[in-house]
Amino acid sequence: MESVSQDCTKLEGRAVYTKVLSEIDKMIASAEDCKQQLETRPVQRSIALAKLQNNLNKSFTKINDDFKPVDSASKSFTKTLDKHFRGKPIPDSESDFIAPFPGYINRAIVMHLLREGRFSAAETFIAEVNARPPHKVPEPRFGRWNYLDETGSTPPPRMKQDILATIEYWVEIRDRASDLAWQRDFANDGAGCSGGGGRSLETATLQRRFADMYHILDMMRVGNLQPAVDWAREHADDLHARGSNLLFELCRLQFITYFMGGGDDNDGDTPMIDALDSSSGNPSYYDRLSKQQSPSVSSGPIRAYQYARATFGSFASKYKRDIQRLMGAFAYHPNISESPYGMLFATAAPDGGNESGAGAALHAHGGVPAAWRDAAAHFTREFCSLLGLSAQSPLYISATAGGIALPMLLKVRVVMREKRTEWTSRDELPIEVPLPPDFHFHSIFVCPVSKEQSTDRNPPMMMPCGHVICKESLQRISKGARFKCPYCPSESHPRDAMVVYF
Amino acid sequence: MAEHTSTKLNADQQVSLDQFLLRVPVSIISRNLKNARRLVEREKEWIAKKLQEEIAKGDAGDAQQSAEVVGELVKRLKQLRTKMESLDSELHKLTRSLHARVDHLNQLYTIPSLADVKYEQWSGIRLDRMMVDYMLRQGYIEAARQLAKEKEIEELVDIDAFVACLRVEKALREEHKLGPALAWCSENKQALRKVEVRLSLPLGKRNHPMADFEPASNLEHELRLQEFIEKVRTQNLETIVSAREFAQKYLAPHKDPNFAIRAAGLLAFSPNTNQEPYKTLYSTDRWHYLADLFLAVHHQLHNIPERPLLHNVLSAGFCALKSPSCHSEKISPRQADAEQVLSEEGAGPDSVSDYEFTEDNQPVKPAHKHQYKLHHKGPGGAAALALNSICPICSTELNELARMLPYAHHSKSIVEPDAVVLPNGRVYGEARLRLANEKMGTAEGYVKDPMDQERVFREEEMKKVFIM
Repeated sequence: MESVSQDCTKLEGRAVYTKVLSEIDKMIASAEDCKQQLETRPVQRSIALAKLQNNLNKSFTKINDDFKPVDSASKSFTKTLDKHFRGKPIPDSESDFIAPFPGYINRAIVMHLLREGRFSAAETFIAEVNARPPHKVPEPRFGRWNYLDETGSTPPPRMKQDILATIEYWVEIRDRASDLAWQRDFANDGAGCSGGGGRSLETATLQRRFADMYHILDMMRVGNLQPAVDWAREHADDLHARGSNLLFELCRLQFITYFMGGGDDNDGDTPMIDALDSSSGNPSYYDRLSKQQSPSVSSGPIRAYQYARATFGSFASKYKRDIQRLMGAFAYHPNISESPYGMLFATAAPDGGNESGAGAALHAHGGVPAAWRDAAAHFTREFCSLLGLSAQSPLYISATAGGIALPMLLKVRVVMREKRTEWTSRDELPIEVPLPPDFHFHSIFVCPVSKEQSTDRNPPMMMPCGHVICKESLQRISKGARFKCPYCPSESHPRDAMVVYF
Repeated sequence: MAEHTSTKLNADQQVSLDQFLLRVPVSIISRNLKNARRLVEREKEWIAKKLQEEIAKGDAGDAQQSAEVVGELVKRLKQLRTKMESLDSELHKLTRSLHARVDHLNQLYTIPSLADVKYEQWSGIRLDRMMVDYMLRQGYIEAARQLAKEKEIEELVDIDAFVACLRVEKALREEHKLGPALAWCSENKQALRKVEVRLSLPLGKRNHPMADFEPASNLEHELRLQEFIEKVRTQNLETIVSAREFAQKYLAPHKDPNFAIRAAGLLAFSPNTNQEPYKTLYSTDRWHYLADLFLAVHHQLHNIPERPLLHNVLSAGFCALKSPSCHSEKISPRQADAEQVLSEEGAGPDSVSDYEFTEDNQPVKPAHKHQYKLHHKGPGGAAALALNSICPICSTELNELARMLPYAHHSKSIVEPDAVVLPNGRVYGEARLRLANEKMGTAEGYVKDPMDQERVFREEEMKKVFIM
């Protein structure tokens, strides 16, 4: 890339018309001169005209020369690009599987924008999509799929066949994809912002939900947990079904905050008269919290105690131990960080050293303590999950994975063309694309015998010894009778194997 | 075999996807230069001619008349200056944007690994500019502008180029007007001679109804043919007479002699004919075809990739992330069993003591039958598990979009090392499962399946699984 940068700088320096413009100014000046001369001294008409002709000719020659560096710099930049990108395959219509789905793509973009809180851009986009729906679904047979024509010469029949087989794969996916697109995309509204069947989410509803989410997060950012708690309480059943303890964690965080002398909101969870001034949602909350620590030092635990009595009852059965530990902290209030409960309260005070208590915690990470950030992340995750959405933008994750995978897949395509091979499984990519660990979302089971991934039709089966192979392998090895496990000496009957779900 | 996971960042590879990011402004720069040269050349010729005429008059010439000519000359030069100024500012904008793009790509080389936060930011910017590019191509200009502005990536996207292109496309597709397209052709006459050979149609040429009718894919000829068709369509005698002359002028020079001959055949058929190829020629669908053809030629000329990078990157990304379970119908024992129950309704209860391998049904032990109620796969699918964040492919936004694509290839299982299986067949990492049960408040000595919390198992029923 260095040569590219250098040439770019060169081009930037040379690609200007400043000299040309000043040459044109000169021409204008000399033409005006000439005009004046003709008006004042008509006798010298021929001389004046000849002089102008001469000047203009010179200027035009000069301008022509002034264009040259622009030309050469842009040509040399192009050459550098050619050199730098030589042999790098270019993404084209063959590697584009999703063109037949403009409706779904638009929807994914809208949801991504909403997720990012870009409500007005999303609105503009929706309005434009509605005004001008995707004009057509591109045809399944894409423009360039037939690169036999491109090479100009007809390859020998054998090669042609193989290449065609390879191409067929891509075409097949495309066809399957577009069949679906025709049926579903157009069965819905032409506007293209709705999805398939009952799973579709109304955009407006979704936008409202995300607006709610951002409101709650904003409030958390200024130290107000109440909207988050309210939301968690409202969805307690769903959260419980997911095995989520968000509600309790939020309440515990509230308790700890009170305990450490913070919390200035008038929330419904603490039905008590607030000793502190109750200006809720103050952005300087954290600053104030650390300053006011000493005057309110005794009111904190009292408030926490009242809060605990009002709130923790409903959690008693499930979180008995946690609650006991929280309550035990009262005994050690004056020097909590050195007590056996220090660790527990350190969730609010990640580096609770010098300034024992909340003050230090609050300044640990740019003003927002780690426990609050964790709680915000936890909340976002649960919020999105209940909407059936992943916490991080799927579009972002996919695009990032695609940036890694696409060059590799393009390269494989080139190699496959050269070697005239095709890959055996059409449902599966031909190569393994190594992604960072946090890009793995499912457990993957690859049968150690057949080396194939398990599918609905070919599920993983566990033998009594605990080893797992795919159903097809099991059938092949056992032939329906007792057989020995390929990985240990134990023998079993295929009917003793059970399907497992990863 | 390659590693299964990796955080190694191959900047060269990723940047290679973005070569058009640099090529597009360069090609606009050289077009800018060509325009400038042509402009100057035209003035030069005009001025030389005028001036020569005056000089040629010799002594017979009138000074006052000459002064007027020179005055006109000044006016032309001033106009030239204004035009050159706007070309200069366009050029400046282009080089600045090129610089910004090179900087943006260079930044990738300074990022140590895929796990770095800076990579996340870079990739985020890439997604933003890919989305803007997509919107521009789809003609959603305002949304594209707004997003580009909010994200401060205006220099990384080609708004101006697409706006100009969209104007011509819209005129063809929606307004059925040839003017802008013909003007564009004459502006780019020279360059067009070079690209038309390599042209590929976005509409599959093979299946296209007009396929055998336009072997040279010459945009201007196609446009002229449309002009001819429209003249004939009027069925007005005078217009048709002029159409004949028009055909002589514009259609006859086509390198395929049949082109003009077939076009001439139109004269014999009325617009509501059912005779092919004339029916297709009269069809208004031809406007879509012309619009697509124009786009293809335009993109080729300006080095704009035929498909939005967003499409390509997402296609590859979906495949790399997708696993067979993302679109699995049978994701949990509950559902499998429920299906079993439903399909066996009427058969005697517990009549099967051994499961059998059937073509489609999961083998199910009778002990588990009837014990789980039907539970539909939620939008999160298999991964709607409290402990995992939802897989992007399982997520509502993308699930349908990724349905038809192949899934990622894996040569090795990716399973938690401490895998255990519950009596219902679900496999979890033991540590993760215990943590989940703690959260669910399961009584000590017992364990619940987080995905099916209605059944409680004894801890001894949990069994170790060995994944090779």
